[in-house]
Amino acid sequence: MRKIPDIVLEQYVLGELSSEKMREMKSLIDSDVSLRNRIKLIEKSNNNFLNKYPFSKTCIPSIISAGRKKRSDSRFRKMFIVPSAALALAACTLIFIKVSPFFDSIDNSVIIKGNAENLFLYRKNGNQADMLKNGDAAKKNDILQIAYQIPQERNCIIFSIDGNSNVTLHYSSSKSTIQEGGKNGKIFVPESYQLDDAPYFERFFMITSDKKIYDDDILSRAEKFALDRDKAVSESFPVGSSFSQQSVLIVKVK
Amino acid sequence: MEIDVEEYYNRYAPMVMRRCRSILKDEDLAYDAMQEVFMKLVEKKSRLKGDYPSSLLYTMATNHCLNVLKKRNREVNISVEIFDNIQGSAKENTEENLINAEMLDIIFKNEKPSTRDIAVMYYVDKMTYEEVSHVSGLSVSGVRKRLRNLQGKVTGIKEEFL
Repeated sequence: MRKIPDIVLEQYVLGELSSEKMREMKSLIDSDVSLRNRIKLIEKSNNNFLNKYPFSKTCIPSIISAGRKKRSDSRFRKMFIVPSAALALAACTLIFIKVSPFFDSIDNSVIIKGNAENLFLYRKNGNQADMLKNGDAAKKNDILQIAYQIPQERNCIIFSIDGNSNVTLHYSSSKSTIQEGGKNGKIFVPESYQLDDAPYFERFFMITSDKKIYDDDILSRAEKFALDRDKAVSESFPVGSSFSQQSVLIVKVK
Repeated sequence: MEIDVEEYYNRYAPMVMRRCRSILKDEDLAYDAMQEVFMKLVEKKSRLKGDYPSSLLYTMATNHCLNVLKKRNREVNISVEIFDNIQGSAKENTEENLINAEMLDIIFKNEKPSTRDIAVMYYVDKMTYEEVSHVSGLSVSGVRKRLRNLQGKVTGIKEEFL
């Protein structure tokens, strides 16, 4: 006898088969102990799943609430989306130019303790470096240095999304030699970057996990996420609960 | 039809998770994939049909997981399973399996994603035409036609390359 496919049993349990098929399945199940056992396994698995992964612990509620917020608050749209956006998008080209690091000019006096995870951005200002905070402004040709702090043994990937919906990988612990943190645990990525002429914003994300991070998977999600600029500016990056994230939004000005 | 996502989650997420787990063979990947499926559901909820949500979610999960595997170049096993079943003969060695996986890329290159989903349901999950039709939303004759065309492609490719 052919093995009944899982989806048929799933739909039997859910009551989503046609009435004729339901009768047929009921008859089969009544006469076949292995089918009854498979049904029991599905029911048991349903309970285990909802205990282990309740809806409230997923990132889905935050996606829903962000969607609601988006509908009621269009300030980012007002700020960023202008009628000429399509022309601007078509005209803009490159994202970043790699330049030499400028670690020496950065003030490392801020000491961070414990297992905190932090993403830092600095802008070169003559012989000094100014720390940029979330929402600070920057302009084309500004030279930025990224630094991060994560607990040992934790993996991370740092990328940014710009107003042209471009995604740029800045650092990945899977592809780079892990560097020693300074006394304050802050690690600078090997290269600084020069901002290009992408409009509206540049948002930097750091995604971390105890487990291996698959760069291609994260970047592929980022590309999708970047397509909706409202989301890219205001929402959390869509990854599972096994990841943590930090972000810094830079508003682009002329 | 507007849906209650939490209600859908409680009712269908375990099934979606099992489907993702069966394709991806990894709990974390499956969990991420399951959440992705529901995120897509959130995006599309105003356009959903309410008749058999399990069919739609099962198809979405299958499609998403196959895309995940494809991105990670780990589609070989499931591809080989499809190819072997289309051909009607099991393959024994890895080299041949890899060739089959490449052949599958050629076969599915210009096909709709749903054709790949149908092939997995029919050849891997061993579903009948009627069951594939029920889940995919295509008519039985539509499913049969797609699989017949696929079989024809495989025969042509076998003659050309093997």
